[in-house]
Amino acid sequence: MVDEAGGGKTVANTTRAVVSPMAYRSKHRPTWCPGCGDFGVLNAIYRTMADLQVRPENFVIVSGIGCSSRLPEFVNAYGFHSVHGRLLPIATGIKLSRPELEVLAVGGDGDGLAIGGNHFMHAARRNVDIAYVMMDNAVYGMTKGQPSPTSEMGMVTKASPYGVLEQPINPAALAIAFGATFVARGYSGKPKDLEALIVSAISHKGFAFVHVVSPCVTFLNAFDYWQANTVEVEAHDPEDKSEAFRLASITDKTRLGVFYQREDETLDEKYRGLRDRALSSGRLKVEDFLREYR
Amino acid sequence: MNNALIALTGESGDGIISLGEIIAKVLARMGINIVTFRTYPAEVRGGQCVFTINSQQDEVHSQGGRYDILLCMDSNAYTLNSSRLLSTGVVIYNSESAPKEHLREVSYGIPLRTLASGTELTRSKNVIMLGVIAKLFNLDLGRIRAVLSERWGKNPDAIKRNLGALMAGHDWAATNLVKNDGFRFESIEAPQRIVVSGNEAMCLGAVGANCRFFSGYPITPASDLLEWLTQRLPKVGGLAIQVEDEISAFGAALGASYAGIRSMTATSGPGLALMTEFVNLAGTAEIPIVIVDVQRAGPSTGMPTKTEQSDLSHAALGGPGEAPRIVIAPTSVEDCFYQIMRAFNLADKYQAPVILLSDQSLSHRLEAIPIPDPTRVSITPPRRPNPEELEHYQRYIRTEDGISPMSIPGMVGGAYVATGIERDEAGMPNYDPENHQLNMQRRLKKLERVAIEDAEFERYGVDDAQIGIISWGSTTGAVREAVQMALSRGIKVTSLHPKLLFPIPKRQIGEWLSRLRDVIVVEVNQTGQYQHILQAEFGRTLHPFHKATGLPFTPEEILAETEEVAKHGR
Repeated sequence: MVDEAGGGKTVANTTRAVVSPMAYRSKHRPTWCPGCGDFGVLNAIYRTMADLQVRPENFVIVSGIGCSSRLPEFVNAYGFHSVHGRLLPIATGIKLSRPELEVLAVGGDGDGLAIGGNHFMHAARRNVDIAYVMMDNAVYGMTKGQPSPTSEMGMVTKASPYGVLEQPINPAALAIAFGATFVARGYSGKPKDLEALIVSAISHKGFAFVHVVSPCVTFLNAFDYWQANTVEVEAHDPEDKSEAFRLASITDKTRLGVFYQREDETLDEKYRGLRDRALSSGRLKVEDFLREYR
Repeated sequence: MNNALIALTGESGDGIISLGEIIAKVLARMGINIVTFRTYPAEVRGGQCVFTINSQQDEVHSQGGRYDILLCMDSNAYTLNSSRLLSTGVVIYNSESAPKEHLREVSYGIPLRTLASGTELTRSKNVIMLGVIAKLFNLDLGRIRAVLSERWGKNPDAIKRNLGALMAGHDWAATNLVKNDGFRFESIEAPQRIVVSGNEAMCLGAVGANCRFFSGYPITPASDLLEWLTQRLPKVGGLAIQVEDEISAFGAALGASYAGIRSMTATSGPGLALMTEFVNLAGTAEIPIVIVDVQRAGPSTGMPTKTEQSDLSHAALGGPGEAPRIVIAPTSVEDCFYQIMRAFNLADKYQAPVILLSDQSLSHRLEAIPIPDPTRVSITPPRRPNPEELEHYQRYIRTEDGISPMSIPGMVGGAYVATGIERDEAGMPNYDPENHQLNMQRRLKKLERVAIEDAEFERYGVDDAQIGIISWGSTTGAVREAVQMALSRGIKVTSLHPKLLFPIPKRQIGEWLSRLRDVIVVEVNQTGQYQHILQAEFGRTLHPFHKATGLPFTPEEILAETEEVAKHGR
């Protein structure tokens, strides 16, 4: 379908000067509260783009709704700040129709696990070649402090005055169960490590999920807790799904790093193959289909 | 000769629909005009199924009214359907499950179980009946054989079995039946045509319009589009995908549109409800997309396999806030092909969502139509920024005609953020009162242009009438035939069928209304949705004529109402 598009593929220009992380900043300054965990994620994304020397015209960041979903506006690249929870369908449509584009989906825990939870499962099992960075602050920040699907049981908020009654979701373990082919966890308080994880996620061929612990400075300030309670994941076989699931599920000292990674054919590759086979005997036109009905 | 309304009736699972499709195709190849209608249960097996073929030597535009020929696979089928049989009609029934009623009509009993037993024909009872019909009414055997062979082309055993069943029925009828009725079909000269359903015509038009991405979720009666396009889009270099729900279906198509590919999704009322938030995102982010809504009888799950025109209000007005969208409706199977081509053009021209309203009756209706010509609708190129505009690119720049050049990923200098948040001309979030007002004006002003530049109509009847009938979508054919009937009875009547439903083409409809004393609005819904939209716009009381039975209007029903209005006036 690329050949049908107006834009077309842009080949990397090797003579171009090295682009610095700051060049990926848009004119729009972040609107987050000072001290928000999402600044760490945004800076990691700027540095990731520089690490990969991304061409802004070939990079699309798709988001839903929420504090973290404002991120595309702060980056010098194509962006799609859509409606609540629907980032993954849009990202899937962009990638399938223009596979040469690099597509990054970003959003929060409420966006991706509550209203958009269904899409998470299906985007992961399709193994469409996109990266998905979920900034998890365990609270609805933009609507001023209601509990999210990752809030701890018992958490008291204005919308859970008697404490949260449900169990929290573990997004990384969930992604492994859904069939994502790359699953990692980072922490916005450790931006260097996070940068490395996002680079790996974007470089990974297939659906790559990075769960980022990204605390909310206003409604659930948990920096001290995470600083003290996160450790690097133990060395393990990244293709061992049970071990990956076990490590991602540990809660006394939350593990950071890559839990799971496996190479598999992506959905966009499968469609390319399907299309190549369909076109091998020539590209049909509407007139050819009309003949079926005579 | 060649004029008969044939009704095929039986249990779901009896092969009624296959039988109907085969007869329709054979009649069309004999040069006869046909319009079919089918109604069937939502369940896979069980329940009554009716397939009608209105065949006419000359024009035919509706499914017709009462039956001339009624085929009943069992006694229950007769009980349920004989009230619609004309007294001059003919019954063909299964004599081993014979109607309990006394048959007053000309009738032919077929020992269907006996004919099918002891052979491999038990699964081909419908084709045995086809043989009987072919013999009784002179259907062309050569053409029947050709259609059967094409239908089971990949399975020689099935072809052999069906040809055997055909001749078993045919030969039995030749030996045992004495023809006692006047119905007969003869081949006539006609230009080559195709036989397609509304859903198929829509898919063909979409391919003709360069649609290269489709995402959908199964829903009756729109699943045909998903199936057709997943099969064929790869062959034209595109792709179609079944996703997890209608929200995702819209999202994926919108993503592909954002990336510059002509994209579409298709659904029915319940799915459109789920897509509604996205419709206004597309409208405000100004991304073209085409949504086909094959309406069915609501509310909620309602009657999924029955017809209704009850999503109009939702399609035209439903959604958070106010954003531009265009609603159009094709009037016939042939029009499905051209209107969907237009839908893609309108979406690109105005960078807006276009909702195309079909319905169950139109989607499954077969018609013999002239081979569609995709070059009749030239493809409108999207307005992309030129190199000069890309130097200081502003995605939502306020232009004179209200259309801001839309960049797509890959364009150097064209990067912007598509968003549902109110934004400035560059695309950055902006909540200033004046900015919002100017954007609202610019976005919605596009609709004024649509109404002026892109309204299409069909008109029937006479100019000096005082009675007018206005209707839209699938109801058009029945109105068209009712107008002819009224004129032949000396009632002067005119009809108008807007294909652009929203925005309302005020000037043309207003002029048409101003010449008329009485105006009847015909639509298949309970509340008169189009009537109320028109009344609100034109400040005038219109005569409602609507029903919500799950069935389309017959020309006779519309004629009767027209005669009432003509008699009593206002």
